[in-house]
Amino acid sequence: MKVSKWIILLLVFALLFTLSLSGCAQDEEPEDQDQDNDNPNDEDEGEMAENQLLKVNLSAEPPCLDPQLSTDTTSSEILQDTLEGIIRMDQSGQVVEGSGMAESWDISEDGTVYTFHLRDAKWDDGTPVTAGDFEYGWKRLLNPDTASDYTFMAYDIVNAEEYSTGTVTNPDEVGVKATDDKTLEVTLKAPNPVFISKLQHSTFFPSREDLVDEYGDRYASEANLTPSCGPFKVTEWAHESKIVLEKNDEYWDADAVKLDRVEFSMLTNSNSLMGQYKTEQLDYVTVPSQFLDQYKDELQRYNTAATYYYLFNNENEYLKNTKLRKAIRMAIDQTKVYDTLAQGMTDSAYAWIPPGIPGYDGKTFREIAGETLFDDIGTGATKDEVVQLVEEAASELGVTADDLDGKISYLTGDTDSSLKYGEVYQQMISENAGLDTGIEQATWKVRLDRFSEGDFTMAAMGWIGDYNDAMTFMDLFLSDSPQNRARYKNEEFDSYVHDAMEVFDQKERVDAMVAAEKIFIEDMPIAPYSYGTEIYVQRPYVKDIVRLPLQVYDGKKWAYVLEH
Amino acid sequence: MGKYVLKRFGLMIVTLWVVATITFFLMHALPGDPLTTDKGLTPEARANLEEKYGLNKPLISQYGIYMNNLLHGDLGISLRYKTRTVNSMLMNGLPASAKVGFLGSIIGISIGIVMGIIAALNNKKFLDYFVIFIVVLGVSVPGFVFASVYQYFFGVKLRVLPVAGWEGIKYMILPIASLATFFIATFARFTKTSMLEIMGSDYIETAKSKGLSNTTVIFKHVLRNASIPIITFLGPSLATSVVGSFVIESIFGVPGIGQFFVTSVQQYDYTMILGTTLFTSALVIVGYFISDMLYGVADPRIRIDK
Repeated sequence: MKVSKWIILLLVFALLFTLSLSGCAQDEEPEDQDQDNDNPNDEDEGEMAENQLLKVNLSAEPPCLDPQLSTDTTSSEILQDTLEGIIRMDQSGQVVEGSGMAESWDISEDGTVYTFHLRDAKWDDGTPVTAGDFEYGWKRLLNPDTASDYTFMAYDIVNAEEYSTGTVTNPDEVGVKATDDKTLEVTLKAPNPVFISKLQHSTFFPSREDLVDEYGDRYASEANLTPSCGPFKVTEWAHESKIVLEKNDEYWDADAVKLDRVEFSMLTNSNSLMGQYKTEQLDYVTVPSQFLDQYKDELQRYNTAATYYYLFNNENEYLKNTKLRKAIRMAIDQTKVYDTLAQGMTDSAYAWIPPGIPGYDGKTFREIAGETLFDDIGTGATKDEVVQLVEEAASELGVTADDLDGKISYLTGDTDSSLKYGEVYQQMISENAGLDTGIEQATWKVRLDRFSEGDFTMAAMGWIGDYNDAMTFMDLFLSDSPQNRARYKNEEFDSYVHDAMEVFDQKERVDAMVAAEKIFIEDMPIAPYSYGTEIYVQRPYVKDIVRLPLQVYDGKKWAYVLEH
Repeated sequence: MGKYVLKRFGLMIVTLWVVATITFFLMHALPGDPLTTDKGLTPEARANLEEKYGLNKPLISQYGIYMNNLLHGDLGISLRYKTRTVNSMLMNGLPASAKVGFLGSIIGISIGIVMGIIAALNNKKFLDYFVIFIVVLGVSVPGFVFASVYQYFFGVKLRVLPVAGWEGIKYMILPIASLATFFIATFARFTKTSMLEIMGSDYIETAKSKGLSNTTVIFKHVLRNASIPIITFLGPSLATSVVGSFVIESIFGVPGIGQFFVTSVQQYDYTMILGTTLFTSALVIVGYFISDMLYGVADPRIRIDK
């Protein structure tokens, strides 16, 4: 008796202590808001801080800072700050001559030969940046011994594909040549209007032949083995912990660079991340979903060039029917899903190309093609329409609507959150379309494997653009594309996309892609459900971080901090 | 003695070989592979990669190559971190993991043993209940909860210690405290139970009736005998904590090797999976060996120097 009495008493104390802690957590919020609202929208900027230091978090240890081997966005974030390609997008996301290593360029009459005139620039060790560094880097990318996964990025170039696959063995036959130290001549297989915009990808950054020879496999694996020709250089790299960039004084546009030092931590835990922000150890941070509510008054957001979609297996005996695919998407009230599960901060998608991707005449692609290309049950479609579609689909397939029950299973990620979304979808499909569906969970690699074997019916998938043009999304679902996991085939769609690949006139190209997108959505081989959104909080003293829809989010070249 | 050590060493090699072999084949039996990417690799690019990592060879010859490299102490290149070797990644992470793991377990185990002794000596008194309370809390509440509470209270609320990061001694306190909490609870429980059992035995009664002082009885007779079960846990506990904990490392941003256990499997980083598995296995085997040696110190009957 006595034992349990003591223990109960102590447990009660413990409980009170915990409650008092959580009580504190709630009390603190208003206090914090007061601090932040001291200078609400203070437009007259304060003094530039003496100490130009920016502290941010990188989502993980960058897997690879070798530009030709790197394929992930984490590494890309560092690479965009430490190296510079032929072009660099300016603050508004435009590609203009002279914004990168090329001062200007000429394009031959037939649109296949590009001559880039490089500026005088130096690597951080004082060695000049030459056209040879680019030629070397690009051929290194294609060299089968390098075994890069990103060779396809360069396949527009003459003999690039042939060299990387071994049918051409002499690298001199590849259409990249440094005619002198300052001139790079690139020959394409066919005119390609998006070639220039692809060059902002880190795959096309220059590499140092002398250093690759000297360091071998260890090139770019440690701070002192990582050369730089961009606004910043890597000065410290404590693996799995911290990476420090400092201003590169040898950079050609060093005058424009105001930050002296950028410190990246590599935290993955959400509580730690927000704790670091709260205690002023981080200047801005992407807000994890469970913290959205707590920070709702401070949240800022921007669109990333990504679209998330339900991937359908168009070769499946039931999902080959267009009406069935449409009915499934229409049955899901996507906006309601995000209002309940994501504080309404994520944009539902009703088209394939995400907002922010350029069109022409200063308008975005979406503004030209229209924001909404179809409706779901939340935006105007009715339950009767959806049920009608299912019945039509069933009769076209020669079965009854009841026969479709249990034939479709939603394959999603192995996290609790994926399951939560999956269950909501399942319920909505059942309520609004009268279809019983299943849910399967698997790890990322297992899902990819099942996609390539065609062993799935419906799944969650997404695509992040590689360059600033709608083509980076459009060519995905060409009949012969290796990324066409939907197994979609439509000659009309293919021909519009091919047209857009060959025409130079921006208006004509975009119009062709608008037409292609219309067919694509009409067929709905995949069903877009949301656009990429980055939600973050940032200290008011941080200025001029460039956040563009593409992977080069938060460019720091022009950023600075005010006295605080 | 020398012969015994040699025999144990031989057994360790065999065990490691078995572990490596089982892990190797289980890992390759998983659906999917390290080269699966969402970018839809062209068959040619895939072939180039397979060639580079030797994945195009028959499984049995991949196994042979791996074992041969292993004999030379080479764990291979990470398939995820393309410019780094598994050896360098483990060596890079070991100091951080070992500092937190070693200090956390030593401090936790010491406090735990002392608390266990206090509880046993004050059986069914206030101090005993206090220890029972700590034990119940420490054993039933998962480690990450303690870590998060410490982080919030000392880091975010009081701001006396850093929330996360790895820059110096200050940054080690919370991870060490979190790890120690677990050991305090576990070892207090073992020590108390084990001591109570010994204290009730006949030879302790004899010692007392011989007129030995209470201190002598406790330190010379009870503690020595009670230490056997504690020692059993001591070696392996030390060994596993030295390779780090995924939870503590990710919460406090400790750049150790604990995280590789989880991430390598998620990413199908074959070489890293084998590297971490073998490394831990070796340490655990060494841990048991240390325990076996310590038995002899505590109890001459199990000494093996014949």
